[in-house]
Amino acid sequence: MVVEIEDGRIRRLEAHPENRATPEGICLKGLSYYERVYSPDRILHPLRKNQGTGEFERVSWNEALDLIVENLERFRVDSGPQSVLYYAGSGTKGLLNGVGMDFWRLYGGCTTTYGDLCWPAGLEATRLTLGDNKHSAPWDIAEARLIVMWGKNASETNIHQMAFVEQALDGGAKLVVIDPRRTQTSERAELLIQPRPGTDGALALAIAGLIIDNRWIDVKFVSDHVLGFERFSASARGMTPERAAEITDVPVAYIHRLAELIGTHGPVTISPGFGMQRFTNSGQTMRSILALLAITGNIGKPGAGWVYANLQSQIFDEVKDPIACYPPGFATAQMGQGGLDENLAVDAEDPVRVSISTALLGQQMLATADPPLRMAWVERGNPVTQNPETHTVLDAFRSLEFVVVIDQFLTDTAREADLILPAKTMFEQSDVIGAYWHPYIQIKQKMIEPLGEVKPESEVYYLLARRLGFDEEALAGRIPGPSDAEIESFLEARLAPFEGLSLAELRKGPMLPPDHQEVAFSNFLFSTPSGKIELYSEEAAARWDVEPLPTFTEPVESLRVQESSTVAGPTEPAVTGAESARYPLHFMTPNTKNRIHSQFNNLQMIRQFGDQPFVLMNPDDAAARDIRDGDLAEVFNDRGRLRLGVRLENGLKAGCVVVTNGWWISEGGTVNFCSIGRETDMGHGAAFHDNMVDVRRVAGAD
Amino acid sequence: MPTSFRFDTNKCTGCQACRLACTIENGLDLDRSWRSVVTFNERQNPEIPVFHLSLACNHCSDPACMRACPALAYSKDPLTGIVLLDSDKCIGCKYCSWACPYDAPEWDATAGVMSKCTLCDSRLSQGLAPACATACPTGALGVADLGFGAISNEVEGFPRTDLGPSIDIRPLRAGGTAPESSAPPPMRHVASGSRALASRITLRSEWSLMAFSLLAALLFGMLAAAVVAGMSPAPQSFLAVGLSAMALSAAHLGRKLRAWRAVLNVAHSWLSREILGFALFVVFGTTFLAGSAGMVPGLSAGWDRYASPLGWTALACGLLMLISIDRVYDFAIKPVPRLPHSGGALLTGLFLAGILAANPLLAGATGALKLALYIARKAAMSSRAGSVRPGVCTLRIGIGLVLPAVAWALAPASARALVVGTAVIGELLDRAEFYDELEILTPSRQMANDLQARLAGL
Repeated sequence: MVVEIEDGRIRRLEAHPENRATPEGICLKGLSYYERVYSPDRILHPLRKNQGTGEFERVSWNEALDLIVENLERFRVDSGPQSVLYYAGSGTKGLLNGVGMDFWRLYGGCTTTYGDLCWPAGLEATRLTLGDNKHSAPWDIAEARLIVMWGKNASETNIHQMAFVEQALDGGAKLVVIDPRRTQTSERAELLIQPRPGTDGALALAIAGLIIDNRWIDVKFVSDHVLGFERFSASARGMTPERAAEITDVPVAYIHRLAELIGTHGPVTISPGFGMQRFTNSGQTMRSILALLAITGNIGKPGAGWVYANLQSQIFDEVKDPIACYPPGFATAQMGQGGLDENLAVDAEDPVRVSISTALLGQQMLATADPPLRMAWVERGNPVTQNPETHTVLDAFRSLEFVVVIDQFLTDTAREADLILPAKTMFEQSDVIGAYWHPYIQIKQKMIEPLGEVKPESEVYYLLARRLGFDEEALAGRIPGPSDAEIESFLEARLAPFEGLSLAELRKGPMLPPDHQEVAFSNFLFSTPSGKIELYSEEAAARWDVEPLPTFTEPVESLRVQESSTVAGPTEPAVTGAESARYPLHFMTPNTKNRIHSQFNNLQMIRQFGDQPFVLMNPDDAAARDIRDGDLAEVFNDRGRLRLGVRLENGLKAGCVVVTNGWWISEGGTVNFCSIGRETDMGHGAAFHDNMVDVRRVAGAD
Repeated sequence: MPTSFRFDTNKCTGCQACRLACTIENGLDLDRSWRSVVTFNERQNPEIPVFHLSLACNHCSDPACMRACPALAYSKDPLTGIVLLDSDKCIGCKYCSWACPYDAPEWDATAGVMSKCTLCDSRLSQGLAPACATACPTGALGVADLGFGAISNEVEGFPRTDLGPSIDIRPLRAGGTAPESSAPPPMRHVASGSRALASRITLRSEWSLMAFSLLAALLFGMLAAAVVAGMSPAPQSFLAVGLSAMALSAAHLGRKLRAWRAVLNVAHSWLSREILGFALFVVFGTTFLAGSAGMVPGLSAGWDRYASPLGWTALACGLLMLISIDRVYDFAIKPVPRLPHSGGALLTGLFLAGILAANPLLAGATGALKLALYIARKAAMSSRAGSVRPGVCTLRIGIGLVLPAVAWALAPASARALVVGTAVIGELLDRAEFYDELEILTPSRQMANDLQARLAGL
């Protein structure tokens, strides 16, 4: 974006005219930085918790750094460096974020996490099938004749995509939305398919079966580029429309219509959402949906494709997601075939112990031994409200002796800190960023001096490293000094290997990465083991203990888990059917346009659009519980409860309730009080959408 | 070339970026903006689409705000067509916010004046689009040069007026249908939220206007009694009540020291006419009463010659004032639009004149008319659940009409104080209900009405 400064202060924020992905304007969260940077609630100096009163008190940087160094040295001597947990979330992105891990290696190591809350099951499903996580440039969707938003509400979570979707619709294309909710995105659709949450895989397989039966497949494409079609056909036909209708609650007629549209109305772009791949069965779900594009030849062509993750701009990572977030040993396993299990074991040589699954953060922090955790360092994240099992995560942080949190605001995680360090905003230090939807590499230029006593993380690491006794030589190339010039030369060094890339060039505007494919896979090269699109993946079976073909299994927490014959809980302690059956409602916890997870809603500019959480219910579900619109109710299960107002929505599928995620504990809506830490079937994602609850009216609260 | 907004209901996702961009560009308080987004069918009634309208000032060709503004604070640029509000001239009476059906003028509580969209005239003059249009992430909001092609804005939720709003609104594709859904609609579907649409005119916010208009009617009655029936109320009390009423009406202004500006727009604004009429009425009326009491030395000679024309002139000003008070509420939506309100200022003034002048014919006729109008209105309103309060109705009719009539009939002379007192209390109740029942048209109300119409048609 373009940031205009007036008298040293941000005056305007507008879209960069050369970024073709945002041809119109920036989103409201971007605009709200006008307030966010200068918010009176922003933390502008180090804060130390007074152990007596529990209140935070301002301390100097000297005191703060001394306190950290004293603890770091003590823990290293007493328990070894791995007694320190380094937890970095996915806030403020940039090349300088890598400085953190370099510091911890210098320190002697640490314990850290693997996996990711966001989207790894889908990334892994895509990697196993197509070989690479990339998709066509955002504007290519305007060429599609059929757009399927599968479990995605782009109007709220990817608003710039809607500009291109609208172009396609104006040109006569059709939009189909598959979502248990009626959303802003589905308003412009001609068809809204509302399956039971967690059953999209069954829907996709039934559609595949119909496409095959009706010979809507692209025979040439399949024979040239697809591996395992015959075996997949046989398996998909096993999922008859009648069986799928029973599983998904989508009537047979609609499954037929969907199959005909996907089979005959190409080019087809499917843009799947992230929420759908946060179930215990979701890697297989994503493989099933992706198969629809493979068998109809909707890959590698304009207007066609799988718009999930576009990591084409992530050129600086030696290993790309999702592998970059796997425990060590994975890359080795990639090279040498076989012996996967041994390679997945933690490498004892590495001073960094990558042993805690992000999905199971609370449980595994508490269970970590030899050495147990004594300290945590949290940056760019808010694990207390955003990771599964808020109760356990709180217990885990409270069991530690020393917690450092870097943040801009007093989040629920920051409240658990012994020491809070103020975090920069993206305008206060230059950095270079890639993206995951549009293909551009961009510079975030330093526009203003850090407010108050804010120091960027890289400077904090630099100062700590010096206090720990490391000299400039030890830091060289890894931890830059604090001056703007040192930051820029650090960035220049990272850009140097790429011809044509430099800060000077980036200052002129967004740049496409070398070898950018505007239409992804237009060369039909797939970096899978077979070099083809793999519907049948031996790697999937070997690595994740799933069927080599995409198959459907009920999510672990499904009410129908007892009836299903193919339950395969990979590594998880399954919730017993009897227990989950007590909670009849699917708890959906999507994002809203107003926030990115737990960020932004503390700002006045955003709060005016809603300052209290509410639970959306289908009127019939509410009536069955004697609940009316506006009542106060409790959403609950064995794990926790939330108390919040009820809002009835006619378009929400019965059996589902919705609370957007990211509300703070003080606001009463932290959805992860009800979730449980579980991994997805592949990719080490968090399956916290596998979450059943019930709702009851809070009596006497009218 | 005049510029207008262009809005595409297909592309708008209701994200509110436009609203924030306006806040930023104009340096407004962080939760204020000159632009608002309103949503049609928020609760997703089956078969009816959900869509949004992002609205600010539509810079109408015949701006209702400008006509209504008593202080001549509004202007329309003949070249660009932009309607501007000069905050240095605004007296903060908020009348423009009643007149504008698009809810464009925004109250600035800190400054005590209204404020509104300028179409970013300073950006336009630099060749830049307005901030809201620049920020719109989907391109739903933009600007268009007027002058080629007719604009159209006939969509649900957009108030239909003859003001010539300069906004081109593209309706939903395919006749505006909701998506066909694979899930059955709920059996117990909820049409709209439990929270009623917030009232824009309330008794609580307009109590000073209620007091003013009631006092105006009372003063008219007093003077009529003096001119027609020869009664002689004390000029001092007449003047005191007149000045208090004036002070009350000024009390609700954001900028009280600019109250004098309120008479500047006599040519177009009923509000200016009301204030001017009231001022003349009080001046002539006081002079008449004072002269009649022999308190004006210069006039005592030949008073008989002046008395009658002066009295009738004062009454004529009073009539103009009462008519203007009623016309001020022309924009308002009355509970039963076809029926004059029983608490109207003119009718109340005549009724009180009858009571105070002890003229049974006038009091009886206007009282009976009031009773008939009251009952007819309440009967029509009772078909809408919950909007009639039987207790208030009983009080209004019992104390305000029946009791004075009975007292008058039984003891015309000795019960005068009771007759006048109860009649005034009755009028107070009726006038209070007048403000309580009034509403003004806003896009939100238009949307609610249009949704009701759609639901009724299903």
